[in-house]
Formats: sequence, structure tokens, C-alpha cells
Amino acid sequence: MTDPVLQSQEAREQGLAPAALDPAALGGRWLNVRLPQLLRDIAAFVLLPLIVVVIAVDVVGRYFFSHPYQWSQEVATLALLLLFVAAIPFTTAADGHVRTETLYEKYSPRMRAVTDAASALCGAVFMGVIAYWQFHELPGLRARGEGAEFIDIPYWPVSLFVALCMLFGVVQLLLRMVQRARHALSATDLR
Amino acid sequence: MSLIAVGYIAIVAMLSLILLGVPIAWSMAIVGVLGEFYVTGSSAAASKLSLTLWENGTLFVFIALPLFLLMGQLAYRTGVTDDLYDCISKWFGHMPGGIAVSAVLSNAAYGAVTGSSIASVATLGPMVMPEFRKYRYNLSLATGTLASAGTLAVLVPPSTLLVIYGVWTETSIADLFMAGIVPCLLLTVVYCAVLALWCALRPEMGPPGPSYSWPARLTSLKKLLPALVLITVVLGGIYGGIMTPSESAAVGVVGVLAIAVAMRRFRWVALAESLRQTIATSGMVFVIVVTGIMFTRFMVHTSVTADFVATIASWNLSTTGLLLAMLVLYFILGTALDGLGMLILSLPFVMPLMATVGVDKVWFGIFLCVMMELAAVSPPVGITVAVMRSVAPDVPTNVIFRGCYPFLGLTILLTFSLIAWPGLALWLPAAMR
Repeated sequence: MTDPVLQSQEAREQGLAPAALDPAALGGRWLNVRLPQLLRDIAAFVLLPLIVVVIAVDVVGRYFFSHPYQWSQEVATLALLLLFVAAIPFTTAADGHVRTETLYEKYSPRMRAVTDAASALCGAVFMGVIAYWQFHELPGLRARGEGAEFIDIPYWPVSLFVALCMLFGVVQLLLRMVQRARHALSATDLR
Repeated sequence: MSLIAVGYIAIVAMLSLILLGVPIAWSMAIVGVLGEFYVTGSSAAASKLSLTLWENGTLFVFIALPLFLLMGQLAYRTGVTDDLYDCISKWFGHMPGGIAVSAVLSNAAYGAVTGSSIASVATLGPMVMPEFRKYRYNLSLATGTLASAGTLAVLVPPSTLLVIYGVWTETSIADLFMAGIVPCLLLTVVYCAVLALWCALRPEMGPPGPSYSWPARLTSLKKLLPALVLITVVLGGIYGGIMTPSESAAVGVVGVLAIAVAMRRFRWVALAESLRQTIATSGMVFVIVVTGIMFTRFMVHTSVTADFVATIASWNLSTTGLLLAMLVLYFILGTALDGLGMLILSLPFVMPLMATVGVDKVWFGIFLCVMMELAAVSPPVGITVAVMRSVAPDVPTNVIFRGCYPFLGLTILLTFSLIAWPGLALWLPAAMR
């Protein structure tokens, strides 16, 4: 997580930090802000409560009614996967990935923008590979009818959701990379 | 080029990226992906990467992480944790250094509900700092106490870092939680004793706080009840063998909500904010864990891990010598990395080494947590010190660090004790089995 001081308006005004990422530029506010928030809200208000309820119901069923629900673990773990992948774009949008700031905080705005652009590219490659493989596997998963063991949930929609989230992550990171590259080219280093 | 050479180049590349400021997850991801592409080919690499994501994303034990985070968030936002300090300060505030002692005890109790050191400092800091100022505590002692005591949450169950360690190393989370209790209690008692003694000898550092009548103290115990019920249900469920940590976390979430409703503190806004905050943290942790595991698998593939273990083993260090070397290594790592980064980066190399010399995985988890406590208050990037600085912006960072040094010394003493007497961590899990 980036030091808030490094992201403050004062730091930018004093030329100590590159310009803030403009949510309205390249792809627009919907792609840069609203979609990550929508995915986060799906994870927060649908998937997370679903996990809590499913597990709690299983525990209550097991101990109070001697009736465990074998499907509960499968539902909860598939929801967990969806929750995690839906959370990643918001973490990226909020600059929430952990980094070492020993050198980073000493950089000039241009160098910091270059590092941010390189970081975005690294993340985009990782997410791109996952998105590609999920799309690649999708027809096979559907044709083979693979799914959960104790409940009728096919895996292909899960795989599709993972692929779409990762693909969105790639677009999001590439947009950030382009913006940061522009900042690097236009930055006036004061330090 | 040999596989081992590829592996060592990959390590250098990854560490360089991390030092240059690329997020840890993306550094491990890019090196892991490119390395696997080079070694196994593009299809096999993409398949392995996807498999790692699916395997870990659908791990039942991993559910404990977001749910314990949510439980902590809810406890914080519904005021369950505020009551802890109120009650504890009524009992201990009148002692020499009483407010500092209360802060330490509250931090330990708070950790038992939230499992997060950052949350502990961020919550208790604004609550306790005005008291410190009111009673004219030495600011270095005051801020150092809060920043250091916040780290107790790393050791006390349900520590989120212990959950991540358990997931990563396939170690029983219940055993890890149990093993953290005695070291945490020991550290809490020692912190409190030293603070009380220090302030008794030098009252100007931390004068006694307000004194309350016995009826007021006894009445305040009522406020402890919700937190006690919560801790009992969650930890009792795990240790009693009734629930797995994930199930226990889910029941804990329902429990906090029930307590909030019963105490008329339930607010939809607080629930929404807790859910959102949980997701933001979960996304960050998941990416770093998955990329870390992916990088580790790549390291194993290149045989670097085996080579590293063989090299260290050839030095013929005793187990104690090796652990002391680990202490130095983690102390150095802690000056540049935060706890999670340190954990994920070191485990691929350190775990096989520990397995080779026969160090217990549960014990090592506790050792690592103590190392993370040290990292959290070690200059130049102590995370709880940074949080404390945002709570008390008028206190310079070096003054906060100065206040942390005595606690740092005590924590190092605990590390030596753990090495000398591993039973400090291992006795309780063994006794409960």
C-alpha cells in the first residue's frame, strides 16, 4: 500500500509526486472507477454474505438438526474464488497492492511514474495469462460438463467469471500504464 | 543455461523489482510467469498458473481469512472493542503507568477479536492518545507503547497472518492459534510489568491515571461480556473440535451481528463499510499469496530451493545457530518489508530448510509471527509506527521509534526464550489434542 503522504495533493503540488491518475481519462470513469466498485460490491454484498450464511447454516444443521449440508463447502469455496477475483480490480484501483517504499519514496515524480507504469505492465501480464487460459479451457469445461460434486453447479460459468475479471484487470492495468507513461514523459522533475 | 542458474537469476530479478518499488505481488508474478514460460513452455505455464489460482481460491481453509477480517471490522464498527479499553482502564488506570498498561492489555484483547495489528493501533490510538496527553505522559513512551502493543495482535488468535501462514504451509490453523496464546500472554505480562516498574521509578514518564470505585469497576465488567462471549465461541469452537477455523469465523461473524443487534448498535452503514473493507484487504492478500505460491513452485522446479537448503545444510550449523541466523535475517528483512511481504518472500526458501533440520512447523509459525512483530516496529518502515504517526502527527517518527526500542528489546528476549524453550509455543497445542 502506498504511503498516503506520497499520494497527497500537497506532494503533487510541490512536484514530489506524479499527477494523480485521472479516472475520466482513457476508458472513462465507468471503466476506471465504477466497474471496480461494482465488482467489489458484488463480492461484498452477495458473495461474502453468501459464504457466511452457507457455512453458518451447515454448522447449525450439523449440530442442531443432525443434518449436515454436503454441498455447503463446495458452494462456499466457489463463492470464495469469485470473491477473490472480483476483489482484485478494486484493490488495483485503490492502489492497494503492497510495495517496498525504501527507494520508491525517494524517486523523482518521473521515476515514480515509470515504476508505476512498469508495475502495471507486470500485473497485466500475470492477469492476461490467467484470462487467456480460462477462455482457452472454457469450451472443454462446458463440453465435459465438469461441475461440483454434491450440487449442480457447472464450473464453466465460474471459469467465465474469472476470465472476465482477469480480462478487465488487464484492461485496467494497461490504461494505468499508459497514463503513467504519459506522466513520465511530461513530468518536470523538481528533485 | 542450467535450471539452477535460471532460478538464481529469477531470484535476483524478483528482488530487484521489489527493491525498485514494483508491488511485491506483481514482482513475483512477472518473474514466475516468465520463468515458467522459459522452463516449461507457454501452455504448461499458463495451465500451472491457472491451476494455482483455482486451487488456492477454492481452499476451504482460506475462507477463514475474509471472515475473520469481517468479524474484526464488525467488532470495531459496532463498538464492541471500544468497551474493552473502557473496562480495562477502570481496573488498571490508577497504577503507575496505568494508562499505558491499560493500552497494552486492551491491544491484546482487541487483537483477540480483530486479529489485526494495524486495526488495533488505528482504533486504540485515537482513543488512548487524548488520555496520555491529559495525564502528561512522555510522548515517546505513549506512542511507543501503542505502536508496540498493537503488534500483539499478530500472535493472538485469530491472527490473520497465522491464517495465511497456515494456508501457505498446510499447517493446522487451530494448532497455530493455540501455540500463539502463551507467547502472547507472556509478552503482554512482561510489557505491562516493565511499564509499571518504569513509571513507578520515574513517575514523570507515566503518572497514574484516574481511580474508580469498586462498584464502578465491577459494573464495567458487563461491558467485557460481548467480547468475552465472542472470543469464547470462536476459539472454543475451534479448540473444542466443534468447528473448523473457517466455520468458527462464520459463526463469529453471525455472533458479532447478534451482539450488535442485542446492544442496539447495529447500523446498516457500519455493516456495508465492514463488508467493503474486508473485500479490499482480501483482494490484496489473495494476489500476494497466489503469486507467492506460483513463484515458489517455479523455484522448486528450478531446484534452487533444494540447492539453497543443501548449501545452508553444508555449513553444519546447529539448529540453535540456524534459528539465530534466521533472527538476524528477519530483522534485516523487516527493515525493508512489511510482515506479509516478509512472510511470502521468505517461506519458499526457509520452510524446506526448517523441515530439513526438523523444526516444528507450528513452532516456526510462532517464531515468524514474533519476527513480524519486530518488523512492525523496526526502523525505517515499521508499519504500526506509521499508523501511530497518522494518529499523532505532532510526534516525530524518530520519537515513536525511540519509544518502541524497549519493547523491541523485550520481544527479542521472547525470541531467545522461544528458541531455548520451544515448549512455550508447543505445550498448549499438545495439551489440547
